[in-house]
Amino acid sequence: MTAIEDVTAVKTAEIHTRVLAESGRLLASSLTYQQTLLNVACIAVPLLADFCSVDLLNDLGQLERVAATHHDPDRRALAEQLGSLPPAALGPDHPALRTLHGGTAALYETVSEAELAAAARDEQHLRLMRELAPRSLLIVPMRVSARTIGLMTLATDKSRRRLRRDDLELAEQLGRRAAVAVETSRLHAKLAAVAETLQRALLPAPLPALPGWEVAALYRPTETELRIDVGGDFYELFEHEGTWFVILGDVAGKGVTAASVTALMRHGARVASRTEPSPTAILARLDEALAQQPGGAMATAICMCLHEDHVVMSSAGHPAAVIVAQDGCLREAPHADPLLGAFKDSRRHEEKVPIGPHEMLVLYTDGVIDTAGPQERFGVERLHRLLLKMVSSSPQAMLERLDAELAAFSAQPGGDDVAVLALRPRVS
Amino acid sequence: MAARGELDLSSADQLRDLLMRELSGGKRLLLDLSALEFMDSTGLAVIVNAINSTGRSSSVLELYAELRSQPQRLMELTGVLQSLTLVESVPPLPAA
Repeated sequence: MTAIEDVTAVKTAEIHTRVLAESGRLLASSLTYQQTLLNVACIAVPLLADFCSVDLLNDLGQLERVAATHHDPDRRALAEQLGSLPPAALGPDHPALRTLHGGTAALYETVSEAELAAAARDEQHLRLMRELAPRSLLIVPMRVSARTIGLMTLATDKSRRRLRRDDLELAEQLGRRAAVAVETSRLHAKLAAVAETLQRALLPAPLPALPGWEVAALYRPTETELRIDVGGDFYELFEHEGTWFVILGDVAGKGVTAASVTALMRHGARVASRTEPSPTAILARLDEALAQQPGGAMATAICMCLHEDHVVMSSAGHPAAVIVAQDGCLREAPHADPLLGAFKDSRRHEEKVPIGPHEMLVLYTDGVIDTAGPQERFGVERLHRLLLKMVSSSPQAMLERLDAELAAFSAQPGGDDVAVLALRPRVS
Repeated sequence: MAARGELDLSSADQLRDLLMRELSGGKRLLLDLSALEFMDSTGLAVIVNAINSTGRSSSVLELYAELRSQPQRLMELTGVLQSLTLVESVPPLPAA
Protein backbone atom coordinates (compact mmCIF):
# COMPACT_ATOMS: atom_id res chain seq x y z
CA MET A 1 0.00 0.00 0.00
CA THR A 2 1.39 3.40 -0.92
CA ALA A 3 2.10 5.56 2.09
CA ILE A 4 1.11 8.85 0.59
CA GLU A 5 2.10 10.90 3.69
CA ASP A 6 5.78 10.25 3.07
CA VAL A 7 6.06 11.09 -0.56
CA THR A 8 8.19 13.99 -1.63
CA ALA A 9 7.05 16.76 -3.88
CA VAL A 10 8.66 14.94 -6.80
CA LYS A 11 6.74 11.82 -6.00
CA THR A 12 3.50 13.81 -5.77
CA ALA A 13 4.12 15.33 -9.18
CA GLU A 14 4.73 11.82 -10.53
CA ILE A 15 1.44 10.59 -9.10
CA HIS A 16 -0.36 13.57 -10.53
CA THR A 17 1.04 12.86 -13.98
CA ARG A 18 -0.05 9.24 -13.68
CA VAL A 19 -3.58 10.21 -12.65
CA LEU A 20 -3.94 12.50 -15.66
CA ALA A 21 -2.44 10.01 -18.09
CA GLU A 22 -4.64 7.16 -16.89
CA SER A 23 -7.76 9.29 -16.78
CA GLY A 24 -7.09 10.43 -20.36
CA ARG A 25 -6.92 6.84 -21.51
CA LEU A 26 -10.07 5.81 -19.62
CA LEU A 27 -12.13 8.81 -20.59
CA ALA A 28 -11.40 8.25 -24.27
CA SER A 29 -12.83 4.72 -24.13
CA SER A 30 -16.31 4.23 -25.51
CA LEU A 31 -18.03 2.93 -22.42
CA THR A 32 -21.24 4.20 -20.89
CA TYR A 33 -20.52 7.31 -18.87
CA GLN A 34 -21.56 5.57 -15.65
CA GLN A 35 -18.80 3.02 -16.19
CA THR A 36 -16.36 5.72 -17.31
CA LEU A 37 -16.98 7.72 -14.15
CA LEU A 38 -16.52 4.68 -11.97
CA ASN A 39 -13.20 4.09 -13.72
CA VAL A 40 -12.19 7.69 -13.06
CA ALA A 41 -13.09 7.27 -9.42
CA CYS A 42 -10.93 4.17 -9.35
CA ILE A 43 -7.91 6.15 -10.59
CA ALA A 44 -8.42 8.89 -8.03
CA VAL A 45 -8.57 6.19 -5.35
CA PRO A 46 -6.05 5.37 -3.95
CA LEU A 47 -3.56 7.54 -5.85
CA LEU A 48 -5.10 10.79 -4.73
CA ALA A 49 -7.59 10.01 -1.98
CA ASP A 50 -9.32 7.18 -0.10
CA PHE A 51 -12.84 7.92 -1.18
CA CYS A 52 -14.26 9.34 -4.39
CA SER A 53 -17.83 9.96 -5.43
CA VAL A 54 -19.39 11.50 -8.52
CA ASP A 55 -22.82 13.16 -8.57
CA LEU A 56 -24.52 14.39 -11.72
CA LEU A 57 -27.40 16.83 -11.95
CA ASN A 58 -30.48 15.07 -13.27
CA ASP A 59 -33.34 16.60 -15.28
CA LEU A 60 -35.09 17.63 -12.06
CA GLY A 61 -32.05 19.57 -10.86
CA GLN A 62 -31.28 16.95 -8.21
CA LEU A 63 -27.86 15.50 -7.59
CA GLU A 64 -27.76 11.86 -8.52
CA ARG A 65 -24.88 9.71 -7.35
CA VAL A 66 -23.49 7.76 -10.29
CA ALA A 67 -20.20 6.44 -8.91
CA ALA A 68 -18.53 5.99 -5.54
CA THR A 69 -15.56 3.96 -4.42
CA HIS A 70 -13.36 3.48 -1.35
CA HIS A 71 -9.82 2.12 -1.36
CA ASP A 72 -10.31 0.07 1.83
CA PRO A 73 -12.11 -3.17 0.88
CA ASP A 74 -13.78 -3.23 4.31
CA ARG A 75 -15.33 0.16 3.68
CA ARG A 76 -16.34 -0.44 0.07
CA ALA A 77 -19.81 -1.37 1.29
CA LEU A 78 -19.97 2.07 2.86
CA ALA A 79 -19.01 3.64 -0.46
CA GLU A 80 -21.69 1.56 -2.15
CA GLN A 81 -24.27 2.75 0.38
CA LEU A 82 -23.15 6.29 -0.24
CA GLY A 83 -23.29 5.50 -3.94
CA SER A 84 -26.89 4.32 -3.83
CA LEU A 85 -28.30 7.40 -2.14
CA PRO A 86 -31.50 8.56 -3.79
CA PRO A 87 -31.29 11.74 -5.88
CA ALA A 88 -31.51 14.79 -3.67
CA ALA A 89 -31.84 18.53 -4.00
CA LEU A 90 -29.30 20.43 -1.94
CA GLY A 91 -30.58 22.62 0.88
CA PRO A 92 -29.96 26.36 0.57
CA ASP A 93 -27.04 26.24 3.06
CA HIS A 94 -25.29 23.27 1.56
CA PRO A 95 -21.57 23.95 1.02
CA ALA A 96 -21.56 22.14 -2.32
CA LEU A 97 -24.10 24.60 -3.65
CA ARG A 98 -21.38 27.18 -4.22
CA THR A 99 -19.46 24.65 -6.26
CA LEU A 100 -22.54 23.70 -8.16
CA HIS A 101 -23.73 27.21 -9.00
CA GLY A 102 -20.52 29.22 -8.86
CA GLY A 103 -18.45 26.50 -10.47
CA THR A 104 -15.72 27.00 -7.86
CA ALA A 105 -13.98 24.15 -6.09
CA ALA A 106 -14.02 23.82 -2.31
CA LEU A 107 -11.22 22.42 -0.14
CA TYR A 108 -11.63 21.42 3.52
CA GLU A 109 -8.11 20.52 4.70
CA THR A 110 -9.60 19.35 7.96
CA VAL A 111 -13.26 18.50 8.19
CA SER A 112 -15.04 19.47 11.39
CA GLU A 113 -18.17 17.79 12.73
CA ALA A 114 -20.10 21.01 12.03
CA GLU A 115 -18.96 21.03 8.41
CA LEU A 116 -19.92 17.38 8.07
CA ALA A 117 -23.39 18.12 9.39
CA ALA A 118 -23.75 21.06 7.00
CA ALA A 119 -22.69 18.92 4.04
CA ALA A 120 -25.10 16.06 4.79
CA ARG A 121 -28.22 15.97 2.67
CA ASP A 122 -30.27 14.14 5.28
CA GLU A 123 -29.98 11.96 8.37
CA GLN A 124 -28.98 8.87 6.47
CA HIS A 125 -26.33 10.76 4.57
CA LEU A 126 -24.95 12.27 7.80
CA ARG A 127 -24.74 8.83 9.42
CA LEU A 128 -22.80 7.45 6.48
CA MET A 129 -20.54 10.50 6.31
CA ARG A 130 -19.75 10.14 10.02
CA GLU A 131 -18.85 6.52 9.40
CA LEU A 132 -16.68 7.59 6.48
CA ALA A 133 -15.01 10.05 8.86
CA PRO A 134 -13.02 12.07 6.34
CA ARG A 135 -9.94 13.92 7.47
CA SER A 136 -9.73 16.13 4.38
CA LEU A 137 -12.33 16.65 1.71
CA LEU A 138 -12.56 18.48 -1.55
CA ILE A 139 -15.44 19.11 -3.94
CA VAL A 140 -14.77 20.07 -7.56
CA PRO A 141 -17.27 21.06 -10.23
CA MET A 142 -17.69 19.02 -13.39
CA ARG A 143 -18.00 21.76 -15.94
CA VAL A 144 -18.69 21.80 -19.68
CA SER A 145 -18.18 25.29 -21.10
CA ALA A 146 -20.08 27.47 -18.59
CA ARG A 147 -22.37 24.77 -17.21
CA THR A 148 -21.79 22.66 -14.12
CA ILE A 149 -23.20 19.21 -14.78
CA GLY A 150 -22.13 17.59 -11.53
CA LEU A 151 -19.72 17.36 -8.64
CA MET A 152 -16.77 15.16 -7.84
CA THR A 153 -15.93 14.63 -4.18
CA LEU A 154 -12.61 13.29 -2.91
CA ALA A 155 -11.80 12.52 0.72
CA THR A 156 -8.95 11.03 2.74
CA ASP A 157 -9.24 8.91 5.88
CA LYS A 158 -8.34 10.09 9.37
CA SER A 159 -5.18 8.00 9.25
CA ARG A 160 -3.89 9.60 6.12
CA ARG A 161 -2.57 12.85 4.74
CA ARG A 162 -4.39 16.06 4.22
CA LEU A 163 -5.58 17.11 0.81
CA ARG A 164 -3.83 20.27 -0.33
CA ARG A 165 -4.16 23.03 -2.90
CA ASP A 166 -2.25 21.11 -5.61
CA ASP A 167 -4.55 18.11 -5.08
CA LEU A 168 -7.46 20.45 -5.62
CA GLU A 169 -5.98 21.68 -8.90
CA LEU A 170 -5.48 18.12 -10.11
CA ALA A 171 -9.01 17.16 -9.06
CA GLU A 172 -10.35 20.16 -10.96
CA GLN A 173 -8.63 18.93 -14.10
CA LEU A 174 -10.00 15.46 -13.54
CA GLY A 175 -13.48 16.93 -13.04
CA ARG A 176 -13.26 18.91 -16.29
CA ARG A 177 -12.15 15.89 -18.28
CA ALA A 178 -14.81 13.67 -16.77
CA ALA A 179 -17.46 16.31 -17.52
CA VAL A 180 -16.49 16.40 -21.20
CA ALA A 181 -16.61 12.60 -21.36
CA VAL A 182 -20.06 12.57 -19.74
CA GLU A 183 -21.37 15.26 -22.06
CA THR A 184 -20.05 13.50 -25.17
CA SER A 185 -21.51 10.23 -24.06
CA ARG A 186 -24.88 11.86 -23.31
CA LEU A 187 -24.94 13.55 -26.71
CA HIS A 188 -24.22 10.22 -28.39
CA ALA A 189 -27.01 8.57 -26.43
CA LYS A 190 -29.41 11.38 -27.38
CA LEU A 191 -28.47 11.17 -31.05
CA ALA A 192 -28.94 7.42 -31.04
CA ALA A 193 -32.36 7.83 -29.41
CA VAL A 194 -33.37 10.46 -32.01
CA ALA A 195 -32.19 8.16 -34.80
CA GLU A 196 -34.19 5.26 -33.40
CA THR A 197 -37.34 7.32 -32.94
CA LEU A 198 -37.07 8.72 -36.47
CA GLN A 199 -36.45 5.32 -37.94
CA ARG A 200 -39.48 3.87 -36.17
CA ALA A 201 -41.65 6.79 -37.36
CA LEU A 202 -40.38 6.65 -40.94
CA LEU A 203 -40.40 2.92 -41.61
CA PRO A 204 -43.60 1.19 -42.74
CA ALA A 205 -45.82 -0.12 -39.96
CA PRO A 206 -46.36 -3.90 -39.71
CA LEU A 207 -48.81 -5.13 -42.33
CA PRO A 208 -52.45 -5.19 -41.22
CA ALA A 209 -54.65 -8.21 -41.85
CA LEU A 210 -56.62 -7.56 -45.05
CA PRO A 211 -60.05 -9.17 -45.31
CA GLY A 212 -60.15 -11.31 -48.44
CA TRP A 213 -56.51 -10.78 -49.40
CA GLU A 214 -53.19 -12.38 -48.58
CA VAL A 215 -50.44 -9.78 -48.50
CA ALA A 216 -46.66 -9.69 -48.04
CA ALA A 217 -44.13 -6.87 -48.14
CA LEU A 218 -40.46 -6.52 -48.92
CA TYR A 219 -38.84 -3.34 -47.68
CA ARG A 220 -35.12 -2.67 -47.77
CA PRO A 221 -33.97 0.87 -46.97
CA THR A 222 -30.55 2.12 -47.97
CA GLU A 223 -28.01 2.06 -45.21
CA THR A 224 -27.25 5.62 -44.22
CA GLU A 225 -25.10 7.49 -41.78
CA LEU A 226 -26.09 8.27 -38.20
CA ARG A 227 -27.43 4.75 -37.68
CA ILE A 228 -30.66 5.69 -39.45
CA ASP A 229 -31.61 3.17 -42.08
CA VAL A 230 -34.46 4.84 -43.88
CA GLY A 231 -35.19 5.50 -47.51
CA GLY A 232 -37.34 7.24 -50.09
CA ASP A 233 -39.46 4.16 -50.81
CA PHE A 234 -42.69 3.75 -48.90
CA TYR A 235 -45.97 1.92 -48.71
CA GLU A 236 -49.04 2.17 -46.56
CA LEU A 237 -52.18 0.07 -46.25
CA PHE A 238 -55.18 1.73 -44.67
CA GLU A 239 -58.93 1.39 -44.41
CA HIS A 240 -61.71 3.90 -44.93
CA GLU A 241 -65.28 2.86 -44.14
CA GLY A 242 -64.66 -0.78 -44.92
CA THR A 243 -62.62 -0.21 -48.09
CA TRP A 244 -58.92 -0.94 -48.02
CA PHE A 245 -56.44 1.31 -49.78
CA VAL A 246 -52.86 0.57 -50.72
CA ILE A 247 -50.24 3.11 -51.72
CA LEU A 248 -46.67 2.31 -52.71
CA GLY A 249 -44.17 4.80 -54.04
CA ASP A 250 -40.74 6.30 -54.28
CA VAL A 251 -39.69 9.79 -53.19
CA ALA A 252 -36.79 11.20 -55.25
CA GLY A 253 -33.55 11.43 -53.30
CA LYS A 254 -32.36 9.26 -50.48
CA GLY A 255 -31.71 9.07 -46.79
CA VAL A 256 -33.30 11.17 -44.07
CA THR A 257 -34.46 13.99 -46.39
CA ALA A 258 -36.38 11.65 -48.67
CA ALA A 259 -37.64 9.62 -45.72
CA SER A 260 -39.21 12.68 -44.11
CA VAL A 261 -41.24 13.20 -47.30
CA THR A 262 -42.37 9.55 -47.21
CA ALA A 263 -44.02 10.35 -43.88
CA LEU A 264 -45.99 13.10 -45.60
CA MET A 265 -47.02 10.67 -48.35
CA ARG A 266 -48.11 7.88 -45.99
CA HIS A 267 -50.07 10.05 -43.61
CA GLY A 268 -51.29 12.40 -46.34
CA ALA A 269 -52.80 9.45 -48.22
CA ARG A 270 -54.73 8.39 -45.11
CA VAL A 271 -56.06 11.88 -44.52
CA ALA A 272 -56.95 12.42 -48.20
CA SER A 273 -58.91 9.15 -48.29
CA ARG A 274 -61.34 10.54 -45.68
CA THR A 275 -62.56 13.42 -47.82
CA GLU A 276 -62.56 11.66 -51.17
CA PRO A 277 -61.89 7.94 -51.05
CA SER A 278 -60.63 7.36 -54.59
CA PRO A 279 -57.08 6.61 -55.81
CA THR A 280 -57.00 9.58 -58.23
CA ALA A 281 -58.22 12.01 -55.56
CA ILE A 282 -55.66 10.73 -53.07
CA LEU A 283 -52.85 11.14 -55.62
CA ALA A 284 -54.09 14.63 -56.56
CA ARG A 285 -54.00 15.73 -52.89
CA LEU A 286 -50.50 14.31 -52.48
CA ASP A 287 -49.45 16.11 -55.66
CA GLU A 288 -50.58 19.41 -54.11
CA ALA A 289 -48.94 18.60 -50.79
CA LEU A 290 -45.61 17.85 -52.48
CA ALA A 291 -45.76 21.03 -54.55
CA GLN A 292 -45.87 22.96 -51.28
CA GLN A 293 -42.72 21.24 -49.98
CA PRO A 294 -39.57 23.32 -50.22
CA GLY A 295 -36.78 22.15 -52.50
CA GLY A 296 -38.88 20.61 -55.26
CA ALA A 297 -39.81 17.30 -53.64
CA MET A 298 -41.06 14.73 -56.14
CA ALA A 299 -42.42 11.22 -55.96
CA THR A 300 -43.93 8.47 -58.02
CA ALA A 301 -46.66 6.27 -56.58
CA ILE A 302 -49.39 3.75 -57.30
CA CYS A 303 -52.55 4.06 -55.26
CA MET A 304 -55.36 1.53 -55.35
CA CYS A 305 -58.43 0.35 -53.50
CA LEU A 306 -59.19 -3.32 -53.08
CA HIS A 307 -62.45 -5.03 -53.98
CA GLU A 308 -63.43 -8.68 -53.92
CA ASP A 309 -62.41 -9.56 -57.48
CA HIS A 310 -60.77 -6.41 -58.75
CA VAL A 311 -58.75 -3.37 -57.77
CA VAL A 312 -59.13 0.24 -58.87
CA MET A 313 -55.72 1.74 -59.41
CA SER A 314 -54.08 4.96 -60.46
CA SER A 315 -50.41 5.62 -61.11
CA ALA A 316 -48.40 8.82 -60.78
CA GLY A 317 -45.38 8.14 -62.97
CA HIS A 318 -44.76 4.84 -61.23
CA PRO A 319 -43.62 1.54 -62.80
CA ALA A 320 -46.73 -0.50 -63.63
CA ALA A 321 -47.96 -3.15 -61.22
CA VAL A 322 -47.66 -6.73 -62.47
CA ILE A 323 -50.50 -9.25 -62.42
CA VAL A 324 -49.30 -12.82 -62.87
CA ALA A 325 -51.62 -15.76 -63.50
CA GLN A 326 -50.86 -19.44 -62.92
CA ASP A 327 -51.27 -20.19 -66.63
CA GLY A 328 -48.19 -18.06 -67.31
CA CYS A 329 -50.06 -14.96 -68.41
CA LEU A 330 -48.67 -11.66 -67.25
CA ARG A 331 -50.29 -8.22 -67.41
CA GLU A 332 -49.18 -4.75 -66.43
CA ALA A 333 -51.40 -1.92 -65.16
CA PRO A 334 -52.20 0.90 -64.90
CA HIS A 335 -51.08 3.35 -67.52
CA ALA A 336 -49.14 6.10 -65.71
CA ASP A 337 -50.11 9.75 -65.29
CA PRO A 338 -47.45 12.38 -64.45
CA LEU A 339 -45.41 12.03 -61.30
CA LEU A 340 -46.24 13.91 -58.08
CA GLY A 341 -44.83 17.31 -57.14
CA ALA A 342 -43.65 18.12 -60.66
CA PHE A 343 -46.44 19.72 -62.65
CA LYS A 344 -49.55 21.73 -61.86
CA ASP A 345 -53.02 20.20 -62.20
CA SER A 346 -51.99 16.96 -63.85
CA ARG A 347 -54.86 15.01 -65.37
CA ARG A 348 -55.30 11.70 -63.55
CA HIS A 349 -57.31 8.61 -64.40
CA GLU A 350 -58.01 5.32 -62.67
CA GLU A 351 -58.36 1.80 -64.07
CA LYS A 352 -60.46 -1.10 -62.90
CA VAL A 353 -58.21 -4.15 -63.00
CA PRO A 354 -59.79 -7.60 -62.46
CA ILE A 355 -57.74 -9.96 -60.30
CA GLY A 356 -58.56 -13.69 -60.57
CA PRO A 357 -58.62 -16.00 -57.55
CA HIS A 358 -55.22 -17.52 -58.30
CA GLU A 359 -53.53 -14.41 -59.60
CA MET A 360 -50.85 -12.43 -57.83
CA LEU A 361 -50.67 -8.63 -57.90
CA VAL A 362 -47.19 -7.19 -57.39
CA LEU A 363 -46.36 -3.50 -56.82
CA TYR A 364 -42.70 -2.50 -56.76
CA THR A 365 -40.39 0.49 -56.81
CA ASP A 366 -37.73 0.97 -59.45
CA GLY A 367 -35.06 0.03 -56.91
CA VAL A 368 -35.92 -3.57 -57.90
CA ILE A 369 -35.35 -3.25 -61.64
CA ASP A 370 -32.51 -0.72 -61.22
CA THR A 371 -30.51 -3.00 -58.89
CA ALA A 372 -27.08 -2.99 -60.49
CA GLY A 373 -25.34 -6.28 -61.16
CA PRO A 374 -21.79 -6.73 -62.35
CA GLN A 375 -22.73 -6.20 -66.04
CA GLU A 376 -26.29 -4.97 -66.21
CA ARG A 377 -29.28 -3.98 -64.11
CA PHE A 378 -31.85 -6.46 -62.78
CA GLY A 379 -34.43 -5.22 -65.26
CA VAL A 380 -38.13 -5.80 -65.86
CA GLU A 381 -37.69 -9.05 -67.82
CA ARG A 382 -35.75 -10.75 -65.03
CA LEU A 383 -38.41 -9.62 -62.54
CA HIS A 384 -41.22 -10.95 -64.72
CA ARG A 385 -39.53 -14.34 -65.13
CA LEU A 386 -39.10 -14.64 -61.37
CA LEU A 387 -42.72 -13.69 -60.64
CA LEU A 388 -43.99 -16.24 -63.15
CA LYS A 389 -41.80 -18.93 -61.61
CA MET A 390 -43.13 -18.16 -58.11
CA VAL A 391 -46.80 -17.55 -58.99
CA SER A 392 -48.04 -20.69 -57.20
CA SER A 393 -46.29 -19.93 -53.94
CA SER A 394 -47.56 -17.64 -51.20
CA PRO A 395 -46.95 -13.85 -51.43
CA GLN A 396 -44.50 -14.19 -48.55
CA ALA A 397 -42.49 -16.96 -50.22
CA MET A 398 -42.46 -15.04 -53.52
CA LEU A 399 -40.99 -11.93 -51.92
CA GLU A 400 -38.45 -13.90 -49.89
CA ARG A 401 -37.26 -15.42 -53.14
CA LEU A 402 -37.12 -12.00 -54.82
CA ASP A 403 -35.13 -10.59 -51.90
CA ALA A 404 -32.64 -13.46 -52.14
CA GLU A 405 -32.27 -13.07 -55.91
CA LEU A 406 -31.74 -9.31 -55.64
CA ALA A 407 -29.10 -9.82 -52.96
CA ALA A 408 -27.36 -12.44 -55.11
CA PHE A 409 -27.57 -10.25 -58.22
CA SER A 410 -26.45 -7.00 -56.62
CA ALA A 411 -22.84 -6.01 -57.22
CA GLN A 412 -22.88 -3.64 -54.27
CA PRO A 413 -24.97 -4.49 -51.23
CA GLY A 414 -27.06 -1.64 -49.82
CA GLY A 415 -27.48 0.15 -53.16
CA ASP A 416 -30.94 1.48 -53.95
CA ASP A 417 -34.04 1.39 -51.74
CA VAL A 418 -36.48 -1.40 -52.50
CA ALA A 419 -40.17 -1.70 -51.65
CA VAL A 420 -42.44 -4.47 -52.97
CA LEU A 421 -45.96 -5.56 -52.08
CA ALA A 422 -47.47 -8.85 -53.24
CA LEU A 423 -51.23 -9.40 -52.90
CA ARG A 424 -53.46 -12.34 -53.76
CA PRO A 425 -57.20 -12.79 -53.27
CA ARG A 426 -57.76 -15.26 -50.45
CA VAL A 427 -59.53 -18.36 -51.80
CA SER A 428 -62.17 -19.51 -49.32
CA MET B 1 -25.23 20.68 -72.81
CA ALA B 2 -24.64 16.96 -72.96
CA ALA B 3 -24.68 14.35 -70.22
CA ARG B 4 -23.48 10.79 -70.54
CA GLY B 5 -23.00 7.75 -68.34
CA GLU B 6 -25.28 7.48 -65.31
CA LEU B 7 -27.41 10.22 -63.79
CA ASP B 8 -28.20 9.18 -60.25
CA LEU B 9 -27.86 10.34 -56.68
CA SER B 10 -24.10 10.73 -56.98
CA SER B 11 -24.08 12.86 -60.14
CA ALA B 12 -27.44 14.67 -59.87
CA ASP B 13 -26.06 17.53 -57.75
CA GLN B 14 -23.45 18.28 -60.39
CA LEU B 15 -26.02 18.47 -63.17
CA ARG B 16 -28.36 20.62 -61.07
CA ASP B 17 -25.61 23.17 -60.37
CA LEU B 18 -24.66 23.30 -64.05
CA LEU B 19 -28.25 23.65 -65.25
CA MET B 20 -29.07 26.33 -62.70
CA ARG B 21 -25.99 28.33 -63.57
CA GLU B 22 -26.64 28.21 -67.32
CA LEU B 23 -30.37 28.86 -67.06
CA SER B 24 -30.00 31.75 -64.61
CA GLY B 25 -27.61 33.31 -67.10
CA GLY B 26 -30.63 33.65 -69.38
CA LYS B 27 -29.26 31.25 -71.97
CA ARG B 28 -31.29 28.89 -74.10
CA LEU B 29 -30.26 25.31 -73.48
CA LEU B 30 -30.48 22.18 -75.56
CA LEU B 31 -30.02 19.16 -73.34
CA ASP B 32 -28.45 16.18 -75.08
CA LEU B 33 -29.00 12.96 -73.11
CA SER B 34 -28.41 10.63 -76.06
CA ALA B 35 -25.34 9.14 -74.41
CA LEU B 36 -26.97 8.83 -70.98
CA GLU B 37 -27.34 5.16 -70.09
CA PHE B 38 -29.18 5.39 -66.80
CA MET B 39 -31.29 7.92 -64.92
CA ASP B 40 -32.90 7.41 -61.50
CA SER B 41 -35.68 9.38 -59.78
CA THR B 42 -33.20 11.83 -58.25
CA GLY B 43 -31.73 12.61 -61.67
CA LEU B 44 -35.22 12.96 -63.09
CA ALA B 45 -36.13 15.43 -60.33
CA VAL B 46 -33.18 17.63 -61.34
CA ILE B 47 -34.48 17.85 -64.90
CA VAL B 48 -38.05 18.56 -63.76
CA ASN B 49 -36.83 21.32 -61.45
CA ALA B 50 -34.88 22.82 -64.34
CA ILE B 51 -38.01 22.76 -66.54
CA ASN B 52 -40.06 24.42 -63.79
CA SER B 53 -37.40 27.06 -63.13
CA THR B 54 -37.76 28.28 -66.73
CA GLY B 55 -41.40 29.11 -66.00
CA ARG B 56 -42.27 26.34 -68.48
CA SER B 57 -41.39 28.60 -71.33
CA SER B 58 -40.84 25.96 -73.97
CA SER B 59 -38.07 27.65 -75.88
CA VAL B 60 -35.65 27.98 -72.94
CA LEU B 61 -34.91 24.33 -72.22
CA GLU B 62 -35.15 21.85 -75.04
CA LEU B 63 -34.31 18.19 -75.23
CA TYR B 64 -32.62 16.34 -78.06
CA ALA B 65 -35.10 13.61 -78.98
CA GLU B 66 -32.60 10.76 -79.18
CA LEU B 67 -32.57 8.84 -75.88
CA ARG B 68 -31.36 5.48 -74.64
CA SER B 69 -34.10 3.07 -73.58
CA GLN B 70 -34.00 3.40 -69.78
CA PRO B 71 -34.02 7.23 -69.59
CA GLN B 72 -36.63 7.29 -72.36
CA ARG B 73 -38.89 4.86 -70.46
CA LEU B 74 -38.50 6.72 -67.16
CA MET B 75 -39.19 10.14 -68.70
CA GLU B 76 -42.20 8.81 -70.59
CA LEU B 77 -43.63 6.99 -67.58
CA THR B 78 -43.41 10.03 -65.36
CA GLY B 79 -44.82 12.46 -67.92
CA VAL B 80 -41.61 14.48 -68.05
CA LEU B 81 -40.86 13.76 -71.70
CA GLN B 82 -44.29 15.06 -72.71
CA SER B 83 -43.59 18.37 -71.00
CA LEU B 84 -40.37 19.10 -72.89
CA THR B 85 -39.89 20.50 -76.36
CA LEU B 86 -38.12 17.80 -78.31
CA VAL B 87 -35.57 18.71 -80.95
CA GLU B 88 -35.03 16.16 -83.70
CA SER B 89 -31.50 17.13 -84.62
CA VAL B 90 -28.62 18.71 -82.79
CA PRO B 91 -27.02 21.64 -84.61
CA PRO B 92 -23.25 21.16 -84.91
CA LEU B 93 -21.29 23.01 -82.24
CA PRO B 94 -19.62 26.12 -83.60
CA ALA B 95 -15.93 25.52 -84.21
CA ALA B 96 -13.76 26.84 -81.42
